[in-house]
Amino acid sequence: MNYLDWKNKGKLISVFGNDVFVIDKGHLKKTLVILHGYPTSSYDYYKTLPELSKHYRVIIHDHLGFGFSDKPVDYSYSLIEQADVALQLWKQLKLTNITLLAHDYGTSVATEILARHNKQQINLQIEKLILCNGSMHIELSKLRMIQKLLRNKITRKWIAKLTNYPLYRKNLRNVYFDKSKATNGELQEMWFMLEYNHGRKVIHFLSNYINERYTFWHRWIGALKETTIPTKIIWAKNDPVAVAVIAELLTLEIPNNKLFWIDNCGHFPMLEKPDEWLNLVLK
Amino acid sequence: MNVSIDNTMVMNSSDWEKKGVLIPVFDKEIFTIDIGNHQKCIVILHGYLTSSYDYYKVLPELSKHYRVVLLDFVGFGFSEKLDKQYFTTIDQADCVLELCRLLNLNNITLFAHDYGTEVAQEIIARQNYSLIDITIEKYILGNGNMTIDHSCYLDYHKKVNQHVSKKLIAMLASFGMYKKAIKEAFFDETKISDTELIEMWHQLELNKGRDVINFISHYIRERKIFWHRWVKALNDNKVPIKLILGRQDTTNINANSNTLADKNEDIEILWIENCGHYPMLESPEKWVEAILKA
Repeated sequence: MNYLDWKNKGKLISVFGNDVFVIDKGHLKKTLVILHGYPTSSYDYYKTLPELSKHYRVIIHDHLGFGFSDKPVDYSYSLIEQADVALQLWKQLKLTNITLLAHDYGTSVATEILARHNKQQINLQIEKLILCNGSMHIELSKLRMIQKLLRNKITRKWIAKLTNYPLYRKNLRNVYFDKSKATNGELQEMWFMLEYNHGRKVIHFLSNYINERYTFWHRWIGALKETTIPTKIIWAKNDPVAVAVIAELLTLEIPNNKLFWIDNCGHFPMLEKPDEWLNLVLK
Repeated sequence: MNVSIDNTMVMNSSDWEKKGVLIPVFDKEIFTIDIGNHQKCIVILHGYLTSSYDYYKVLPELSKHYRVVLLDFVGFGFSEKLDKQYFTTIDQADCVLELCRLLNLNNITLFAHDYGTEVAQEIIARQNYSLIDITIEKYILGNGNMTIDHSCYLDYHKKVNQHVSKKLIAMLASFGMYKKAIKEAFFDETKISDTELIEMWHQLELNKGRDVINFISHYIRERKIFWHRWVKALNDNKVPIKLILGRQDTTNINANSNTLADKNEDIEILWIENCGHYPMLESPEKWVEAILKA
């Protein structure tokens, strides 16, 4: 799908003074909200949205700094703030009962939301939680060289400046299991969305989330251990970053969970194996 | 108003401990002192490596005017100390707000000093975003570490970071280093006695309090992460913010600058002259007068 076609499917909603791009599709009562990953956007779900919206009202927004959302330069881009924004958006949309699905970067926003849910700081009924490949256990994840460089405070500004489409394409393709599934067309559209609104100016801020995962480790892993929400873990087995052992550890930590593997699949199961992924989500 | 405080008696730790109780907040035990029978209430957030004990001189006078709620942060004073685990500013803010809820506090004035100012900034951010239910009517911030009084609008300076982290790490090394660092923060060193310092160190040591692994690196990292969030919080304040600052604070690199007040006209500064980083200990009368005026 062309990125501008994707843009036409959504609208901009102002949240705390910034415009957030939101896809809101389907008319059913049951609502599925999706928190996307890094450094991509809601576009990750273009293949699966039509089917998902037959079963749910589906709400996917681009986090600030990503996709078609605002990318202010004087902003913290903390996962704490991304959680503030997501919760405020859902409040404005008057959501009360949700199924929460999160992938990659989004899983950490989800754990922050869980921490607040556990402490009864928010009025939101989370009926079900679905976690896809994400390095919540940052100590186990195998960071790519580019992530390490973007995380390092000395190199990150330069790397951000040097980031270009071929580098992006290479890095994204490398986290697929079957590289041929990452088509040039698709990667090109994803790159356009990263560049949209001067996105390259903020990419090194966005990369701070890896540091936050260390600092907030106890808060977020603690939230997972405490939650009573039924949790489905859907994990692509051959993810070179958010490795399979993270999923195995989560099954020991989350009280009420069920793990489903997707074999022969890399970091983006919703793009690489959309049918299998959909079956597991909807099951 | 003229306030007069007897400066001669030093409170010892166990007498201080008897003034408060441990209150379970979420799953942490928080040492809380709640004194004074008034509608108006002041909640006080202490600084890094000290505790609610900093306020022992001012508590009797202050509680004539306010219901005073003093708490030790998780990891400090008589509160629960976690084993090799960093308790984030976000978690501290959660606990403070939950404690206010449990105590049913209303008409709150929040005073924060040093490390506490960062927790206060997080609370201001949440209040600006309407994320909290309790009503805080006024914020009074004391001498902070970095963000409040000087470097607020400078870019994150490597030197500032190094300066702060070196100092904070050194303070933990031994009683001698701790004593030196605290004394240096006073304008008049004679205003802090060895007996007081011993009590403060004792509270720090209690329950392996020094054993907070990696505290400094997480602390500095958090300041970076939330830099824009907290600066914005101070600029977008929906309720009044006042500053009460000891003028001769050497713990800050540039203590006299008041960039924050320059940028935000709503923010007013009350200076305490001839006084360092700890006005509530060094100039307790003037500090109480300033609080009552603010």
